[in-house]
Amino acid sequence: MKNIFNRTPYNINIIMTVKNIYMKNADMKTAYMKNVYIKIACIIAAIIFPLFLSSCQEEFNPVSNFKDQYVVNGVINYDYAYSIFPKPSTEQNCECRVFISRSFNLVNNMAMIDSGNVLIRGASVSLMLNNGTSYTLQDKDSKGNLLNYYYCKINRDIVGQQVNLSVVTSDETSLVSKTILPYIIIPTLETEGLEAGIRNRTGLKTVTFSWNPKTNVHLLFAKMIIPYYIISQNKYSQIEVPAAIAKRGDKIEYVYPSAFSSDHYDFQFPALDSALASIGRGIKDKTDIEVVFCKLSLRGYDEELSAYYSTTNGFLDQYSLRLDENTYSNITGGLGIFGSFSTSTNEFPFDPRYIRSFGYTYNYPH
Amino acid sequence: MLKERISIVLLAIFIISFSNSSSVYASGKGKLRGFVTDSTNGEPISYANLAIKGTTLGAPSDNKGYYYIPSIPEGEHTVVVSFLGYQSQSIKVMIKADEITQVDIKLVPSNIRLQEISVVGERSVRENEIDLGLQKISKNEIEMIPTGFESDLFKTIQSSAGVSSTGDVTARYYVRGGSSNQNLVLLNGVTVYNPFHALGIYSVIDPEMISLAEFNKGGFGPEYGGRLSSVLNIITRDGNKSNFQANATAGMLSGKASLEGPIPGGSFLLTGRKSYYSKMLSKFLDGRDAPFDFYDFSFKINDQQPDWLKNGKFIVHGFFSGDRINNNDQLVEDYDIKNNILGINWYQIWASPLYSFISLSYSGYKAEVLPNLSDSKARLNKIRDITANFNFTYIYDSKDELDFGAEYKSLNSVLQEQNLYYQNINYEKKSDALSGFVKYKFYRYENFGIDLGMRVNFLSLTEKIPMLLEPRFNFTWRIHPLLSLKAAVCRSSQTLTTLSNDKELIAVFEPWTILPDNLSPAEATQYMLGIQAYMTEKLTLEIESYYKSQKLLSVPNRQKYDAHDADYINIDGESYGLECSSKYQNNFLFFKTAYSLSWSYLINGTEKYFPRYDYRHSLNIFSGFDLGEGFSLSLTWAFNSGMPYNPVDGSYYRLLITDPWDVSVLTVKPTQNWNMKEVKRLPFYHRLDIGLSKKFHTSFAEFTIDASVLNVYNRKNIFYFDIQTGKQINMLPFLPSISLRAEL
Repeated sequence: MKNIFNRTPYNINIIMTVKNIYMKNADMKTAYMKNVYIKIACIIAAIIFPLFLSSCQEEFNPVSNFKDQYVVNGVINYDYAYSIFPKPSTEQNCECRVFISRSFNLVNNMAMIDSGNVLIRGASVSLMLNNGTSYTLQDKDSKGNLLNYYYCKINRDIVGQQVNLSVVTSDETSLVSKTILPYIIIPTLETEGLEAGIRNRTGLKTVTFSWNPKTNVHLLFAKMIIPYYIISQNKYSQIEVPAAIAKRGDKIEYVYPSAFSSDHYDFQFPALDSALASIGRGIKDKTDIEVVFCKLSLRGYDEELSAYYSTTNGFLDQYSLRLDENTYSNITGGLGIFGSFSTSTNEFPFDPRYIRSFGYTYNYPH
Repeated sequence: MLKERISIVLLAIFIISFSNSSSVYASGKGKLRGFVTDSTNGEPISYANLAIKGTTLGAPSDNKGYYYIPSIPEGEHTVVVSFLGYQSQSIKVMIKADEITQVDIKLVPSNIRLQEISVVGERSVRENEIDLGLQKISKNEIEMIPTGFESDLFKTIQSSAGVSSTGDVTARYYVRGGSSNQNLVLLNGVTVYNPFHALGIYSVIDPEMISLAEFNKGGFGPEYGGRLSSVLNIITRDGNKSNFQANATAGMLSGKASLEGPIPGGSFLLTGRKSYYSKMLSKFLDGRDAPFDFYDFSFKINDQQPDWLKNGKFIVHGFFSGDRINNNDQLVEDYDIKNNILGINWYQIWASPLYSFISLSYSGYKAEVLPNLSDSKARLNKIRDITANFNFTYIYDSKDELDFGAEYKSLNSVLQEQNLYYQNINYEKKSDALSGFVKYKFYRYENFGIDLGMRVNFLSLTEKIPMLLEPRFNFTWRIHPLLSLKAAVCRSSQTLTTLSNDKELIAVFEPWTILPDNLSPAEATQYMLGIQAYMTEKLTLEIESYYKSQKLLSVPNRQKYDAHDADYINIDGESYGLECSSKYQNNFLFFKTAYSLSWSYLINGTEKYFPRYDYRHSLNIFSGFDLGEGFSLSLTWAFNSGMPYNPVDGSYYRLLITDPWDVSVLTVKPTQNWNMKEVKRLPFYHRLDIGLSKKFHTSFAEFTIDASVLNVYNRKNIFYFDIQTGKQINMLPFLPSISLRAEL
């Protein structure tokens, strides 16, 4: 085997020479690379520097030329309540309110306003039914006091009829719109076995109400109320029942009904149990509380108000992101919305056994 | 009707086959064929150039590495094989008259890293190649572009001329004025219905598994159908045929790993990716928290030339991806999205100059929004797609090629949802589609290449039948050795669509469905004209112009204010533009630019408006530097003129209904009024990204550290205006990221 360490001076010279050349090449290579790096750094700096200057983005304002318009917000509401306690009776009420304002040339930092200050007064506001009946709305009450809106009371028989709104402002601008007042919804108790009264029993998860769908009712809202009476205090009160109960970590959250369009609605029994139990919370003598029935209110929006609600409150999910979509308007000649809704309220008795299971008294209301 | 349509195709194949006189070219000549593969791992090399020295004969390998050169004079020849990133090879071959000589070639990779990042197949030996609108993208090109957290094929595509996106936070892309659902994404020939992770921020395609991606912006052949705008054909790697190899990468968002190696007769490849720290993604969502959890897993097993079938290759492949947003809160909705793909491919080279590609595949997609007790709407979308493909290619001695085949698709789509108007939709449809195609490529003329094709729709998924014939024409004329003129015409139809709204910048749920019966299938015709010039050996310039007419597009009904109105309607579209791309490369620098000038419109009756993704100018500059000693640097700069938006022409007090039980006309809220008839443009968008990579070796592994910074100079590019507040929401801010990759 050749001893590689047994080198002659000649060999050493060669090695030294090669090493020098290598070192020189290495130095040259390093110098060359340094040069390249410096050039690249200069190129990058030259690119980035002017871009930094333009990075200070000016505040961009998406405003076009201001367009002055009248804005009309009008709602007709019809309420119908049917009571069975202490004796069967009905109550009905129908009225219309219209608020007129103007658009304004401000886009950001818009504060909520005192609506009374921006109401456009002096307008001629009227409702016209298809049968020729008309109603005039006033911005004063019967005593001559100024209201912050235009108002009129309407006969109850306009349910299902088309109502045309006409607004003529003092500068002769005409704004028109229309709505069809929705029919009232009469619910019945769907859950079997509760004919004698609502109670939570084995096998039941929900108390379900159903009704015949009405063609001119689009969006629906439900609300269940439990009225109760505290005997010793001679005090009437009420509590709203959530539709469901959810757990958020260790906390319990109550979920109240949101918009829907089906022909039935479910309230979960745990939510009803929870609402009933909460009435007597902190009260030692539960028999001091009288509970007999619950009230279910159903509110139906007409087509116009439903579309408006969907564009302003419609919620697909928390991540989807939609753009530039205007709020629905059905005011010809301006902006805003004119719609109607009807509300029915009906009473449904509880089963006495169910109420007594909470320790409460089941007596007919006084 | 069906019989008539089939007869037309068979007749066309018959006429074309027999009109070509092979014997004129065949006497005393032989053929050469084989596969070109990487010597280190046996992976097929697509678009390698093969030339017979001293002649004008040659051919590129196809996307499976296969090549075929007909009409070679009898005798000994030298074949020169070259491909960027590999050392050129000269191989002596003996050609016998009237025989096919098979030579498989293994190319040795070169050490110059920058050559790897170049676009694949930069200059073909076949100068009359018909490839207008086609872009070939390699894995290395994808990985060189700094993308933040994850390298992404779709981000590479977004930087191409003629391709736009609506923001930094989405991998969705829009090609030449077409909507994002007009893009076909194929993985080993199988449709991927939801190619996105994490609300569309990333694509599901892990670059680790990619061998080659062919992106076609419109001049696609008749073998592709069902989409109007583009075809992205992703071919995954076969896996290392020589050695076992494992890779692992840890990034700030997800970790991924791959394993590959030889098996008797072939190889396998397994890849997997899993998210583990989704909090980073809140940067993409304007600070909103989204507890994402996503994964993807793929496998591919191939058996090449099994004993029982000579010159055949079988591939079994699968891909599974899932995205879940689990909020662990009953008051917030959850999401569950899945893709499942399984396929079998059989690639066969027959004794004659015929080869075939037959595949059977299943692609399943399921997306579900689980509302729990939130106000969200319950939504469910399912697609079950079973497809069989039969493709045949015959190469004549004249170099001409005849392609023909058929596609059968059995598709079931289910859509159950409640729309914004609280209307329940339950739409389920099961249908079958049968298409055939024939294509004849004239390669016999040295300076001309003509590709005449026709796709025929025998059976349609929809009630309303799309057009019977979809002609495709592609043409190349080499005016000068360094200059080619190219043209193409492409007609296509689409019967599947996503019910998406281009007003939704972020859409979690984009359901795929067979078009409802009230909608007609969409149609598009695109005309393209282009020039390709080799300015120098290192500098290439491509200019393309196009005009695309779209009919019967399905878009959301802007006039829908009631549950009973149709959700979607048919409208038309139109787009045109000019694109200019250039590439320069030397040993330490790679420089690419892509500019496009374009117009796109949607037309609904007399109303003509710009879609959200309409940009007038778009410029992308990419440069890569090999700094030596394992360092490489990349810079990308993107510039777009502003996207369209509707300006505000004032504000007003609108009725505020926060509680539907307390509706009072006195409860009002100041609100902007958008002028929907006027269109303005947002300010310019521009952004610089920088990536720095360092490779180093240890005794047991090779490591790569990739560091990147997005939006280096923190440009405040506008994403959108909040419709409630009018507040400006910006796109991605300055965003650094780092990842480590180990290769065993």
